Amino acid sequence: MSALAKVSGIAVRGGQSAPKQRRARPRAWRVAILVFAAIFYLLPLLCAIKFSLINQKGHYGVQNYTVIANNSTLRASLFLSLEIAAVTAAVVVLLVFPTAVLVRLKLPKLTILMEAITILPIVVPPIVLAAGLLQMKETAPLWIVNDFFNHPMTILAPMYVVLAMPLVYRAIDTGLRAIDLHTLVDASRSLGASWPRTLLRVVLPNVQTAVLGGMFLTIAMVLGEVVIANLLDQSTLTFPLQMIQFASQDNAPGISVALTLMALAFTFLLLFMLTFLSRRRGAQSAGVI
Amino acid sequence: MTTDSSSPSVDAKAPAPPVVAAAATASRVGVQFTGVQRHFGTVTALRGLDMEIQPGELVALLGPSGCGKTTALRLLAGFDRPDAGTITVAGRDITSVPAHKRDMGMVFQAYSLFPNLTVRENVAFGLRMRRVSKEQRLRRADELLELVGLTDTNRYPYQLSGGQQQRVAIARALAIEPTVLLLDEPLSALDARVRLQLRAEIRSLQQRLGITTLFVTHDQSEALSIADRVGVMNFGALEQIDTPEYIYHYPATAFVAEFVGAMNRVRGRIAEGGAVVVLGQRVPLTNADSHAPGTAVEALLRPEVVQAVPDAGGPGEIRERMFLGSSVRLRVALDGADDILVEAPSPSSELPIGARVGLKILTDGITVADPRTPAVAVPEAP
Repeated sequence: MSALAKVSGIAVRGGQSAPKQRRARPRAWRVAILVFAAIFYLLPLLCAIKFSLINQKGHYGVQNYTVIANNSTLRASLFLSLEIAAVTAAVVVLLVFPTAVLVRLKLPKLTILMEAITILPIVVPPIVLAAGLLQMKETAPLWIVNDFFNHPMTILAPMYVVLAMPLVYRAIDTGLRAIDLHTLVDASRSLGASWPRTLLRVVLPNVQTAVLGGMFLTIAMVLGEVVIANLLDQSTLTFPLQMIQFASQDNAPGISVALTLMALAFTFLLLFMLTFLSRRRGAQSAGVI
Repeated sequence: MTTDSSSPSVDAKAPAPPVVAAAATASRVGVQFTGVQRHFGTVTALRGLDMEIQPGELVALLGPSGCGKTTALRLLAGFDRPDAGTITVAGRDITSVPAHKRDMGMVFQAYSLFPNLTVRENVAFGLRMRRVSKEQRLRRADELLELVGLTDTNRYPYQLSGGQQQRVAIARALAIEPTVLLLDEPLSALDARVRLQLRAEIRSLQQRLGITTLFVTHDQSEALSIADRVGVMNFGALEQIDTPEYIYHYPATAFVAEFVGAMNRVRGRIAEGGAVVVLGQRVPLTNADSHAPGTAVEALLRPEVVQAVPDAGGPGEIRERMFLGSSVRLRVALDGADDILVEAPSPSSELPIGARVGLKILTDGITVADPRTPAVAVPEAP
């Protein structure tokens, strides 16, 4: 071992543990706020769960959930929405991630312009975008109408890419600001990595949480979007439209609530995954950047 | 498994030899900057840099912030392109070669380890990019980590101290067997003790591996202690490049004289025959060409080339005495002139504060500056 190794020694100092500090007892008002918040958020949820477990004959059971599982129309709409969500998330990340890196590294003067552009889909209401596209549909050649407007994937996914851009750009840009991008890229390039490899093997893993966050937000948005889906694609019902249809049926309110709870559980699952990954990433990068 | 064509220095097919032996057999290459210019808008970062680095040599570029030293290093690394001029490595023009095809190992000022990779994976990264087999690259990574004194290789960067991170960065830069090693102020973020240790470690490694190295720093003690030659830069130009001893004792310009080491400015006058009269003594000039006889100048005198001798009728009086360990620094007030610093070995300097002294100049060559030349603003140490 070199002299330096002895000086800056990698061995962890061990043996002596710090005396345990007595954990402070939470104050009563804090507990009260926690209980109130829990009641406020959990009570409706618990009520919804209870309601979803009551079948059409008034007995408790999981019939509403089995109906959903066995309903091919519902399954198809869910898979369609998930497909659109996956394509949207992939395309928007493919577009935004290299752009955000390029702006940070080479074109910092365009930062403000990029922020302005990416805020447009929030400023302009979705219904205006949809109305504009419908106007286009009226005058478009038939083959465009057939190949583009008449398929939920080709008409909805591009629209959702535009809508998701502000969410994903901001998430990724925040991630990029948190790392020493210039140094990491220079280090990677000097070690022989080409630009695509640098982006994939160095930058992406270090903004993974931000990218996943953007993707999850995109998926959640697609699973809840009804305005554009309703206006642009009236031939196929996406998952949120199918939920609305179920809710409007008098004989199946329990199924509608069960559907809502399943969508909520899926979103929670995504959030938990994000939190879990954030903790892992946080532990890896702490004190480095 | 094949080797990337852009990485001729790493042979994936051959078994990885021990690091030092491999480096010893590697060809040493020289670097040449020829008329390299770089402008950023209206700012000129480099104004025609001409510099040669001999094979196996360690050259330190020294200068204040904004002098162009980091720009020169980044141009050599390929992170930037010059507006004019060429850069050659081993006689091959690499001015237009992209950074990832230059085979240069670089250690950065900021901690540059990839946070998502372990120490071992960080060191093996460059070899992975060259498609070296996993077994070979991990073995080489272990060898290099051992070389820099790290054995616990499965940690993540955040689990290491700053000194350890920089040693991993050095191992990572060396793993690809680079043609040239580039060090961009790699010690400036470290505390003083680790900085000294790592400085010695870098020099020792560089000499053992015989790798051509460019070291950029604004710390003069770092540059003087580590380099075969030191290049002093100012406003985008290389003012002087020479051995540390020559730079220190025979500075070519007033800027170099004042930037490197402590310096007194003492009024004098140019005499005939390439000499200057200062403190009543006639001393040869090192930059005689630029001044006509009779011109009033300021002589640049290092504290250690001035000797204070007890003399009741002498022109100076000791005002301050600083004990520096191996030496003592005296501040002597001259009658009718500015104060002058004198440094002498501590056992030999027993002169008390208030004592009258005479001053002797002990050098055989003095650099002079125009009296109007402002003193150099030396940046504070980090």
